[in-house]
Amino acid sequence: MNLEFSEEQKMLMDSARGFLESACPLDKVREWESLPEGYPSHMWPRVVEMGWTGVIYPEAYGGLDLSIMDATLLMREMGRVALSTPFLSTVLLSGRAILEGGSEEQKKDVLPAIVEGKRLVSFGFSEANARPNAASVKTTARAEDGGYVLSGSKHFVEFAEQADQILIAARTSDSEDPEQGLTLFLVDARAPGIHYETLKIMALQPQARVTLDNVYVDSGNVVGEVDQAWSVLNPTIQVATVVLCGYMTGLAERALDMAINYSKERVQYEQPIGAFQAIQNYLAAAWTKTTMGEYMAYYAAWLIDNDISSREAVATAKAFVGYASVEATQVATQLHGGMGATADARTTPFLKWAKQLQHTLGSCTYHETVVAQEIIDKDPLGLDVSHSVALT
Amino acid sequence: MDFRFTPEEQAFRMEVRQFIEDEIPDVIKGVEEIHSSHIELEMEVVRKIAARGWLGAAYPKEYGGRGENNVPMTEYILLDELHLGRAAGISLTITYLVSIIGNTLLSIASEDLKQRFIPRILNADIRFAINYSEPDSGNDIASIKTSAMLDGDQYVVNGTKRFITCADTSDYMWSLVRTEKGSRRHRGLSIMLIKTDSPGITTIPYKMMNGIETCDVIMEEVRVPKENLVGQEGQGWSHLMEALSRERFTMINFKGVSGPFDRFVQWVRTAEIDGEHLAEDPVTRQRLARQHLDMVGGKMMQLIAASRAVHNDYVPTVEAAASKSWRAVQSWPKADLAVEVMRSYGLMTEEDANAPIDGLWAAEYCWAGHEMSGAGGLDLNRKIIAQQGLGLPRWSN
Repeated sequence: MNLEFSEEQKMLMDSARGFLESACPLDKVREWESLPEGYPSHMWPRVVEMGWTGVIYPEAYGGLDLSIMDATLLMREMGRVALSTPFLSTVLLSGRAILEGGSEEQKKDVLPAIVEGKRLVSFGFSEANARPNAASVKTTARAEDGGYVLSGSKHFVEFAEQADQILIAARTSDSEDPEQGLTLFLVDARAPGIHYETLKIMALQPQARVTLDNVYVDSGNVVGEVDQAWSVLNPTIQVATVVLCGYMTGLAERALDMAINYSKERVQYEQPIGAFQAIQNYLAAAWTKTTMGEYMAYYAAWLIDNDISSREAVATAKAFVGYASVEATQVATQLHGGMGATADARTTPFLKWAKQLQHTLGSCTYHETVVAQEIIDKDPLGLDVSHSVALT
Repeated sequence: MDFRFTPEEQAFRMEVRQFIEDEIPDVIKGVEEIHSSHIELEMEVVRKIAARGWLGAAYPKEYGGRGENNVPMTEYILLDELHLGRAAGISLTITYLVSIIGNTLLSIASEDLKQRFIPRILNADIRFAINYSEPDSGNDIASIKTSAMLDGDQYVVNGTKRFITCADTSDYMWSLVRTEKGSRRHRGLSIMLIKTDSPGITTIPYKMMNGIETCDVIMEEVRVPKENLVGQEGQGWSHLMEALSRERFTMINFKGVSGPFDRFVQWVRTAEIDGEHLAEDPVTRQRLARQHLDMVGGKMMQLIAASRAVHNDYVPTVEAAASKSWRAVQSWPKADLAVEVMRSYGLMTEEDANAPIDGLWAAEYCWAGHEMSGAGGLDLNRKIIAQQGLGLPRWSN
């Protein structure tokens, strides 16, 4: 049992932290919020230069072929500077789904283009009920003229209007089992019949509602097998959920760092406020939860990397990290006092991001329903007692 | 990172598990702390563990140990399995003997004390009580008043200690005393071993809410040989800090909290109250899942502490304080939840033959009170995290 980082992982984190701290100082991150595009588009080529867009793709497609654990560590660094990029939608979700389910031709077309920063592919999965499960997909695709015609709407789609293509999940046949009958389509983002409505939300990244009004898609743009998309989507969403927990951990850690430093400097009642037991209690509790969440994400990533069943661990990590990162950023805001509540507060992007990501790829409540299925409906204790995994 | 035990670690784990099944009588399973009525049974088990060589793996051969490396993991697995096997009392006895007192002796004591005590510790034919706190000195242990003044080649000890578990069933008390007259706070303190049956010692046992026994110890003109001083006279505070960091790391095992909860979830799966299946109630499901998250968090912090200790030759004081404080934080909520789900049946105690789950949750609810204060409790452990881990300033007095 060894929960230490490898030397390679330490180097990966060090180089990422060095680059991001100089490229994304906090005052810049605050300025970027008012950019007309809604995100710092000039940072994406720099992320590309670092090679991160290929982090979890095989070398054959220009990737680095690193583990899910490594990708989680990298995302933690991006979270520490609250960097807004299309990494989740393009690299982790759409690109990964194409890697999992696409034809060789599709992979060769899309993945190197993503790695080189030449293409953004948004992820058209989530719908009106905003949950990351198969049952939420109601968009339909009916076969017609050697292709498919898509109708429906996709909600909270990140970087939709900025993307070149959109990967759409749609229902090609009805089934009692909501996990059957789904198909993935890689669609030109400017195809006739696609309409975008920019969402005005608290998030610090562009999002849109995408309406599909009889959009025709050639059958060559079906990704994976017809009706069987869940077998591609499910593992893709699981991986992205874990890696996202890394970003959320980074947000929480940085917010706490700021709160700790501020508590050492800010003097009230003739002493640094960090000397008060009440303040120490807040920070000790938040640090404890953030650290637990950090390793729960690593644990889930490690299970995926080792092909061990991970449904419970992923849901547990996402729900726990969801609570922990929101609480940490709230404490950080609170401990900055009135200044923490000002429009220019340095803690604000962390506070907003943590709340947004708590609801991205499933809220805490959603993941708790998954955990309940795993611990109550499955075998007693849900584990094999002779198992050598330390956490059980 | 590897969350799996190595094949050697896993083999040891299975060996311990088999030992627990074969050798630990049911009557002492489920006993959370040492019960004076089972002392002999418990010590018999500890001696069997000693006979297997599991107590002395880390100790030098000259004192009867095996002189092995990578021992923190062996110790971790042994204690962890004892908690999982519901033999927390045995685990606690071993922690006192080997992890806290034996290791601290090895690190700071005179050759004479090492020779006298360590072989007996590794054979489990000696018992200790830990003798720190006083009626007016709880978390603020630097304020103790018990004095030990040198008179010829003996110390003369006077004072009263409180919450000294096992004082009435031990051979020696590992004691914090003030050896410098008029000294204040952290200065002038020393650690010494006081024989429990010395003339002038009165132990007064009483019960805690959770049923375990502890004692007040009144010491009047108790004479202790000078050789029983542990380490340097006047250096008691730094010796105490060393012993305490060992205590928090080894004594506090989160399985003591998560184990009962896992058994509760298992009970819920098939439980019915008046024809209602509890496992089908959405509110119950949601609350169990949320509690499960916090149980996994606690187990994870314990693993973090163990891994850092094993792979970095490091005493994980802050991580252990985080694990301990989380144990306290979770203690009442998990019991509240279980009793809530079980409705009034959750309040039935083990003395009622019809109590579901053997009255575990009425007991757990009462046990939680102890969790809030034991081993520094919630507040002291949060102070350790904040000051030692996060570098926040000390409180001003």
